[in-house]
Amino acid sequence: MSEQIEKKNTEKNEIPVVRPNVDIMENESIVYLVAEMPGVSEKNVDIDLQGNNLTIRGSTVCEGGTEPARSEFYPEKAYERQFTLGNSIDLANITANMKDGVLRLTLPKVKELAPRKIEVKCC
Amino acid sequence: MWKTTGTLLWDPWRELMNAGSGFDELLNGLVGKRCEFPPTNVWMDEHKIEFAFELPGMKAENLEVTAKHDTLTIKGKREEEAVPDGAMFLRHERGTGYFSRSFALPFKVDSERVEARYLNGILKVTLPKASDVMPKKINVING
Repeated sequence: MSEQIEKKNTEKNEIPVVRPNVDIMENESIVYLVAEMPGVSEKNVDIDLQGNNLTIRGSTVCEGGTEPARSEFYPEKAYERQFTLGNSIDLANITANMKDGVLRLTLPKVKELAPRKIEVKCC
Repeated sequence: MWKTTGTLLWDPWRELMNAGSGFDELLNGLVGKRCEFPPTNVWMDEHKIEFAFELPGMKAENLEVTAKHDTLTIKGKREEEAVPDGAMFLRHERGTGYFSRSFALPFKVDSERVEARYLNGILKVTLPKASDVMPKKINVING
């Protein structure tokens, strides 16, 4: 597992920014996006939609603040990834759920008007 | 940099003693390198050793943590995400399946007092030093 890192200059400290791994699934009615952000609680996740650009962000907090003796992941880091949504997504009805460090987004597609049969009544 | 699970046990104590294994170096070494699953951080002081594992989307009951003698083993299974009806994967980056990882502990631990907690996709295991290896203060009697 590799963490793709860009250093982001923040006003306080340099917090490493990591790209979360995602699964994206699509069927005729929804797009389902699952992003792994271990260490991120529900209140530290941020979903931002600007036009068709969806950005997911999360941050982890290192308890205690001491440096690990051995480290394979950043105890304190930010996750960020951006997606461009197609025009078929119903932007107003996107729903999100965060559990056990996994963010799940359901992006419904715009319901196309079902073909309608018009009855002709005769008088 | 990372050792294979099972046959070669990673000894954090030896690693710690090796000069030049600084934190910055470790962080730099992380970039673009593959390491074993789950990624692990270790903290240590004179009373305990603490492990943190990145395990997003697990169920606590699917995690098996065993501390035996001087070895900590973590096992589990990452379940495949439930696929919505008729859906196709556009991206499939998350790993699935069984994993197992073992660590050699630098001291004997009190296996009765080992604590494991799973929160926000991080498993934390705290292993207190066994009382018989803890330093004891000996009173000097006068006379």
